[in-house]
Amino acid sequence: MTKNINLSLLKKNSRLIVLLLLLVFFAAFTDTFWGISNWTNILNIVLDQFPPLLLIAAGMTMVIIMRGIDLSIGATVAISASLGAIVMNSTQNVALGILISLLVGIIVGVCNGVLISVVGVPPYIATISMKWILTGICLVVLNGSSVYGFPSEFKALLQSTKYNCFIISLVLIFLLAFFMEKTVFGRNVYVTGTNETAAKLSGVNTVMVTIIVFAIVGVLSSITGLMYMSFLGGVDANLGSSFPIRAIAASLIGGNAFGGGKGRVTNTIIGAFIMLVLTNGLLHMGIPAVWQQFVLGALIIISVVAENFDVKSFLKKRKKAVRQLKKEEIV
Amino acid sequence: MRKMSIAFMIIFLFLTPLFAGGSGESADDGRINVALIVKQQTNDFWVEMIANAEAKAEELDIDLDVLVPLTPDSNEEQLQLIEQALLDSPDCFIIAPADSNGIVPGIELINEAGIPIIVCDSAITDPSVETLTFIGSDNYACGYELAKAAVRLTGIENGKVAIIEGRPGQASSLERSAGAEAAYKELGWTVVDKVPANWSREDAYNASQNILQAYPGINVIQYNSVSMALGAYDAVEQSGQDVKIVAVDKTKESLQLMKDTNCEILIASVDNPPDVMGANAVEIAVRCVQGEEIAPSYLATGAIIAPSEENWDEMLQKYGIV
Repeated sequence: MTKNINLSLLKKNSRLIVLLLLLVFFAAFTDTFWGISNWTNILNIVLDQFPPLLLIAAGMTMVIIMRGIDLSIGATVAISASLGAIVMNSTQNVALGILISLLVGIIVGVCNGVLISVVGVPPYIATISMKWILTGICLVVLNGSSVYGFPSEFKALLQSTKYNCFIISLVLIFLLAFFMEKTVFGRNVYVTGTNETAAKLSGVNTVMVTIIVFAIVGVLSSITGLMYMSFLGGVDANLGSSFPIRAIAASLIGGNAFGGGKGRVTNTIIGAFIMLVLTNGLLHMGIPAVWQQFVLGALIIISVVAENFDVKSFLKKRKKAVRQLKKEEIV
Repeated sequence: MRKMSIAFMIIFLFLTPLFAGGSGESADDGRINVALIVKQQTNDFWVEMIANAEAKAEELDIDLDVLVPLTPDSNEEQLQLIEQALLDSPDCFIIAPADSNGIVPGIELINEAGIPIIVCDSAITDPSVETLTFIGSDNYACGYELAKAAVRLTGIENGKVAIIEGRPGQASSLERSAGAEAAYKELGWTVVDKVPANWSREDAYNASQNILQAYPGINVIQYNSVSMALGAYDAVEQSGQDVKIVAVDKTKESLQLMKDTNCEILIASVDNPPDVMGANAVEIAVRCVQGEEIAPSYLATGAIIAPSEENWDEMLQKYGIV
């Protein structure tokens, strides 16, 4: 029995263990990655690169739990940042710019949600079409050029201290985790992901759940866009083109699985972290950058296989033991 | 009544393309028709290139079809655009390939149709296909000259440099890096690393941040495009390290930044004149259709842009920067 508990604990925290191993490995085998007197690199990862990836990946995780996918997040980041930036620059009103940006994110999310749940377009098709539409609008609005020179108060708002973006993203993630795991709404998301028809029959308003989830993803994308605006000092229509794939990768590496009804938003924290540490660490090891893609791809596969292995060998073979374990946990 | 008029309007809307198509064919007799396929339309370089090509087309009174892949730098879409353009059988193709090797099947199709191809920006080196000429900046020379300027302007001996590249495998990026590497080697500098950032601002930001930490004591970061340098600017500035950056291309944004900061960090860029490329390509296409002789390549090496150069004031004036 104790052996089983140990095993399940190990499986539960496997991603965290991988992350710690990676951190220790890179710290030990390079001079520059992390040391007692060298915190800048790790702080860069945590404070600058981590927050935007975490937000889009958390959004993606919510959609994946609902048995969907959102391929329009990158384009949402671009369009919300562009429109927000244009308004901000022309009115010199930072608050208005941010508001517009968030509003655009919500509108895009609601459109996605309505397309999927009301009209009945499959998520993949709905969101990839939305991606084309948004990129198109972005190109027309920006005329292929970039927007830059934001009011200084905007940058001050997000970068007055190095910790702003980090704190914003963590607060949002824990809020999301709370909603997903402790509220009726969150349970409805899981139920919708497990079996939409059953959810409907048992009285869950799946239409509303879908729309709200996509609206939340829209807002998260806008906030990511705003962070990038402050980091990059300019926005172009190309912004975020790699985000959907990176978000899916972070979510999968974090231990979430396609199939719906499974996974946790908080898994994404470790998934995003592993991705960034690995890319950064390999560079510090002096490994040519082209290999980073290879390693990340391999990691996703390993992660998914590990997850499947979990289900088959652990749940099937030791069904009884697990059931009992669960009972004990509940009691 | 109102319903009727709306119905007519809708019918009219559906018919318009038919009419337009019909009239287009009849006008096809005398006018030269050129198809221009570019890499993307999401940055200033290509916008300027297209605008100048269109202006030239108007000046020479020819039809110019500009075809842009919806996904920036998508080879697959460029191949589809070629097939689509072939249906109209234009007199000449101008193509800026996103992927010099990937585009080859499309070029074969155009070869089969017997239509001349002008390649611009990134060269196609595959010997199995025929292209008429190459127009563009000498990417190798761009990287080379920029590297020399970086060494000259920093005045450092045996310095260390990292190169931020575009999309892996793309000829224009590879050549720029190769030129830079050659120059740095000649001048006794070390290239510590080359990292691709896919021509994207956000990737360049992260890549630069990582580079700055992995190689403390680095002197210069060279970017294969200016938009990547602009994205990474804050990362470099906030690192607090004494690192200068140089970049291929220039935009109004980069010139403004150089002026405002007195070239404190972004010390130089090398011009990769899109206006010249767009206009030249159209002009050469027309000359080719009219049966004139065309040289195998038209290469331009852009001038270095830095306050120490002669063209500095002129450049600022051209882009309306005060």
